[in-house]
Amino acid sequence: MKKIIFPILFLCGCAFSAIASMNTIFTITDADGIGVSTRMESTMAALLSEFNAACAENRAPRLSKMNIDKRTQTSILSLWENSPFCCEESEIVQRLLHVGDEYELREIPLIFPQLPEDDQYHEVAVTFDNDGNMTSFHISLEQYQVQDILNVSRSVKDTRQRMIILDYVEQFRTSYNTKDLNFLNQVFSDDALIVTGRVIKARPSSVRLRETNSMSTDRIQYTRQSKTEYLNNLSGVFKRNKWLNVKFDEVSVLAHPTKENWYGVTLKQNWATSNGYSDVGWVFLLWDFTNPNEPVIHVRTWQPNQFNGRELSEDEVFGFDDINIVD
Amino acid sequence: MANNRRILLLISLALALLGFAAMAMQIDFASRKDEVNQIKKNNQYIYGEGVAETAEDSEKLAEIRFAEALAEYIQSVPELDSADVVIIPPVKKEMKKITFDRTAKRKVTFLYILKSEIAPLMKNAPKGDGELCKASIEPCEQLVDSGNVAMAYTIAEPIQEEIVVIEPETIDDDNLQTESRVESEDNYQLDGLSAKEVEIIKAIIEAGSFGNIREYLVERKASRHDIIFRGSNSFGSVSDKGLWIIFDNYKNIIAVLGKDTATPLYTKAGIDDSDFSKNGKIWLKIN
Repeated sequence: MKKIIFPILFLCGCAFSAIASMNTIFTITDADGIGVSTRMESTMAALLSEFNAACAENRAPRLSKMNIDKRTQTSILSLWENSPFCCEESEIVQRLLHVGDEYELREIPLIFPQLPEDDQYHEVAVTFDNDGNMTSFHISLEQYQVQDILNVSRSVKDTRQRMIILDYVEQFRTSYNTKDLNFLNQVFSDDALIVTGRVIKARPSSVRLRETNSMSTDRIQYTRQSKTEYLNNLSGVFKRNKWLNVKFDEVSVLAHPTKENWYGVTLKQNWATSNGYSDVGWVFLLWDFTNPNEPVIHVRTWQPNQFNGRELSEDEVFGFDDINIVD
Repeated sequence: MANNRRILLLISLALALLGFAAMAMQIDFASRKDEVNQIKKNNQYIYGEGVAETAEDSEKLAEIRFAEALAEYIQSVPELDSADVVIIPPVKKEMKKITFDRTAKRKVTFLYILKSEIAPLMKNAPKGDGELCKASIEPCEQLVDSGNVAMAYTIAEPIQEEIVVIEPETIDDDNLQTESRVESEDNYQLDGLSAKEVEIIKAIIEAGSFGNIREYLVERKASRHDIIFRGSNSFGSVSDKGLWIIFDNYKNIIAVLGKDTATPLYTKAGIDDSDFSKNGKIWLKIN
């Protein structure tokens, strides 16, 4: 009997461990004349293979010798602490994109084995500087969401702008999962207007939220916070929770009708923490991309997805109409 | 004791089956993924890939991306760039498809075609049959609004164009007045509509082309939330009452029909055909 059972179990074990310890090759296409593409390929291959090794050995990935800047290393390790991930592919082939002044690789598939099955598959996007060093690593929106955002673009310039916005929205989302207060501090303008259903965050003094009926505390108890208050509160949430899982869905991007380079981003946010708290709400972000390398958020509002037992209708969700911008 | 051995053997076999099933799936995934990777690395191909929770969604994504790649390729080739349109159906017939399942409940669709097959397909495409799409815009089948909607532009007969050359000396004030009068013959029947409906219809007519009108509608929906719209092949495809924006074969607006499709609210000068069933159209509901 043992002669039959042990070989069978051995073969099964071999099959599973082969998947877990797989090395990944990375090939970049559409990179003619870009000398650093080989460096990027090496970094990606080393990084994905290291994820698999770390998964198999139940340890954190070792990133210190890779061409990845410190902030991004910290971000990857924070994400890992939230939930480890691995790459189940022996080779990945992706096009190199130009986004702003950087290079970007998107749709890199990762599996998060500790999450529920229908939430295990996520794609990440990474950016590189002109020297081929990785400068960000963030979870991407789903492919259909990306397509929806880019489909609305009116010109090549608008498409490029939307790619940059998409990139920042993804980084913004990932920063909650990685507890990256530095990024949030950088991206919110100092006088940002922050409102939540409990919170709205206020930023620049040039922006004032018009008090409308939909904003009144009679309907939903809104709270205004300064950037400092918001980040302090958030810091507390980060400390109290081992992990946060923030997801964005139904993302739409709209150019401001008069302010060039200002965009409104509306999205449905799913928020869940290790302490068991979770909520779903609509978030409106007013982004200023006047400096595309350092965009800032002037307004962030949050509203519950449901109120009084019903879902908020589209016209109840905050947008440009509720914001009065004073030049 | 014998029973225990049997149970142990059964458990082992079940585990083995699970293991081999997982391994077989992994091998199938790896072999298809390898096929896809070889195509992606070969710059002789045009391709589009989609990953989504359902096979239908992954195929939609792949089609959109394939069409984008096709348009990009056509624009990059001088002999093809001069071609204003590409006939999609022959390309669709020739393109090949790879589908497979990923772990974590994801479906993958990969569509591809050899670049060298495109030019012959364009040359041999039968005129007057099939969907006509601007290569530089978007795929024929696209998400105009929230639904999966086909914008079909069927050419029933070859287009006959009459070119009239007017010598410079014949253009005088009278001619200009005549031309002006011709323009003013556009027919409007907007009585009884609300101010908002009139405003939207006039903006649509002013926008003129399919691309501009779609842009206007997308912006309006996003900013005002007071309209719903989608492309449609036939009047019967939408159960709710709404307006219809009708286009000619060049994607220019020629009519706007009311909730009763027999009643035009607007028709372009020279358009008197009340049967727009074969024209490209957008259904619009103003709330």
